[in-house]
Amino acid sequence: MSGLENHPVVLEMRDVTRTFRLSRGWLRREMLTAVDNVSLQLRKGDVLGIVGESGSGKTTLSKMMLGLLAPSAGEVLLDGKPLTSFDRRALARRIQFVFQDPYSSLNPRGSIGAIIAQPLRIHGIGTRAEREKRARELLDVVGLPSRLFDSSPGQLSGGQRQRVVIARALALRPDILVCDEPTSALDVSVQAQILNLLLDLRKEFDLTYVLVSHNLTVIEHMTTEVAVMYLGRIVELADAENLFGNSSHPYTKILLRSAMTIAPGAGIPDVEFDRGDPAFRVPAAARQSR
Amino acid sequence: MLLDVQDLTIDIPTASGVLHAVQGISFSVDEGETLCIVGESGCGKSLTALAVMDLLPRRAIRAATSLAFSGRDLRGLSREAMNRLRGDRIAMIFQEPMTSLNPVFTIGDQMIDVLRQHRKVSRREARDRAVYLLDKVGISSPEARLAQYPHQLSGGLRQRVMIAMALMCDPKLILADEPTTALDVTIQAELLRLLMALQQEFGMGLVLITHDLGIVSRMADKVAVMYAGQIVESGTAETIFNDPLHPYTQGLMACLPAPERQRMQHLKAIPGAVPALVGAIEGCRFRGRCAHAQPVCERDVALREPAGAHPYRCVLPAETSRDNARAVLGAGA
Ligand SMILES: Nc1ncnc2c1ncn2[C@@H]1O[C@H](COP(=O)(O)OP(=O)(O)OP(=O)(O)O)[C@@H](O)[C@H]1O
Ligand SMILES: Nc1ncnc2c1ncn2[C@@H]1O[C@H](COP(=O)(O)OP(=O)(O)OP(=O)(O)O)[C@@H](O)[C@H]1O
Ligand code: SF4
Ligand SMILES: [Mg+2]
Ligand SMILES: [Mg+2]
Repeated sequence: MSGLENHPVVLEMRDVTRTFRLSRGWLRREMLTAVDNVSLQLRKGDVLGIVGESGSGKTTLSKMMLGLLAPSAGEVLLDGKPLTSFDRRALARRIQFVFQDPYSSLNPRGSIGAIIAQPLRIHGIGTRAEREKRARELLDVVGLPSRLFDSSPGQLSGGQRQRVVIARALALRPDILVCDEPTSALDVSVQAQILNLLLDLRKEFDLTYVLVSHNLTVIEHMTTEVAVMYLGRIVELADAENLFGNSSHPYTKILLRSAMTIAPGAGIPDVEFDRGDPAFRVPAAARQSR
Repeated sequence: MLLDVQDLTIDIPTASGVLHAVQGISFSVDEGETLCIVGESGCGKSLTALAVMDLLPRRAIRAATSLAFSGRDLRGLSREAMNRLRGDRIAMIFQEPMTSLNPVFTIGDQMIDVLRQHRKVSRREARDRAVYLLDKVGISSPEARLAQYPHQLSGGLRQRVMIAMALMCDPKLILADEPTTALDVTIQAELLRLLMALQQEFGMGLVLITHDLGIVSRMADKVAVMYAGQIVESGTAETIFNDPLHPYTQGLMACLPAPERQRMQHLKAIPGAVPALVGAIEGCRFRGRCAHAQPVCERDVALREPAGAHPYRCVLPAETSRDNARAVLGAGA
């Protein structure tokens, strides 16, 4: 139990499905179900970890939480109201994102300062001077030197760019932050700093997180709950402690077995398994209602 | 020796002065060998790989006393000769899949192109090889994927496409910059096993840049730890992980989340940030963040290899470093 069971549900997904058309030809119109009938609840203060196969729908799911992608079926609720009833701006103030790829998510022509202040500008918050001040503060919050204020993204390393992305996401003081692989481009010392930052922000601003990551030790360290995705479905949803302690789903078990701990000379674990095995698609026994 | 790099320097003129991004690093890779490069974000790992490929940003200035591939000096090579080598004998898997995949061409067209640029093969043959490799890197329905555009693929699929594309011409050397970061751990394991198998079978050399110390410990024959444009420690995987001597290396190992570290609590982090490498720089690059810094550290520190130790760039005697490691990392170190 994560101790948050009495907190209000802030974000809810009800039977959400999203399909894409796979082949472009007129004749073969293969449909791909990227997210398949997913339901979940996010309570205030939760840190929901999402792990799973590459291509299992984690990013698609995140985008639907953010209203950036419409579900093909089902609905997403924010504070019990359909996401579609919020306008873009209202939504942006509640829920923000940090995406997987720090390279393509920054406008290469903007200065770092302008990029961080951009959401404030779009929302008409503060004067120019106030926005600049806030952007400088945010630069400091994410641990970037102020000399980078006038640099362009092209002059920054991957890790530095990801901090810029986080600073920008925090500009509007959202209360939900969806982070898709926020630290996968970072070295472990910067990763530790960013994770510590996320932990601090959670305490300080009562942030609720969704954290998508392939790094199981990060997920284990950072989350209250974990959803394991496989081929578009959540096959296991459990308290973080339970999941890592005794997972019940075969895919989760394989996932845990493939984690690469430090072990000089141990080689790469052989975890080949039959991805087509229908057993992997069957969700683990429903989680104890909390 | 497959790749030999001696005293590589990369300077980039910027508005605020010359950025000394890489300051005299040396390393080599033999056939079938894996060299892992780890280090702080921004320490010059990607630039190092790009320098070997001759793909540095236009303004960057590269210098080296040796830069040789299979005994061939890469420094004086014409653009055409380098183009022939690149993607063929030496392939790179870029850290930024989206910038190296062309958004307006399908995956298939791009893969087929790579092979046909370097080999006299029919489109059909090239296509077959693309399908074969997409399957090898674990992409289901590879035929259908060929018709897709990069933006239609998940991050992990894109990265696998990049790996497959790098393998199109059976390269002798692969420079892989964070090749598996966007991948889930099961596929990561499969791909790394695939790379290792290719190394054993064809003697392919591998330079692997990764932040994942777990992977480094398991894959590397040799490890180079970089900090602020320099190699600060190098050795076999075993020595680096069991006997880290540089305070930065020790710091890296201390800040990993691990099952035995308390959940939802602050991780150990190395305080401070990397120094600006613009203009004149002197002394140990790490001293602003090092708990053991002393006045002598303000002078430049050479990479040295005292008896009974591997090369590291720190004034502390190996024995003192080992005591520190035990204090930071516990008895295991
Ligand atoms: N715009 C699109 N058009 C067609 N297919 C898409 C599109 N976006 C995503 N997909 C497909 O949907 C599936 C899920 O993709 P998604 O990006 O959500 O995966 P993911 O779990 O985030 O993977 P990764 O861990 O690799 O980032 C993939 O098969 C992907 O190719
Ligand atoms: N085109 C450029 N112009 C100016 N500076 C650059 C350019 N490209 C890289 N740099 C700078 O050079 C340094 C080294 O960059 P590099 O990309 O090699 O870092 P890295 O070690 O690969 O980092 P990461 O782990 O974050 O990918 C960084 O400080 C970066 O800001
Ligand atoms: S040379 Fe000095 S400052 Fe640098 S790592 Fe060693 S003790 Fe620390
Ligand atoms: Mg994704
Ligand atoms: Mg890099």
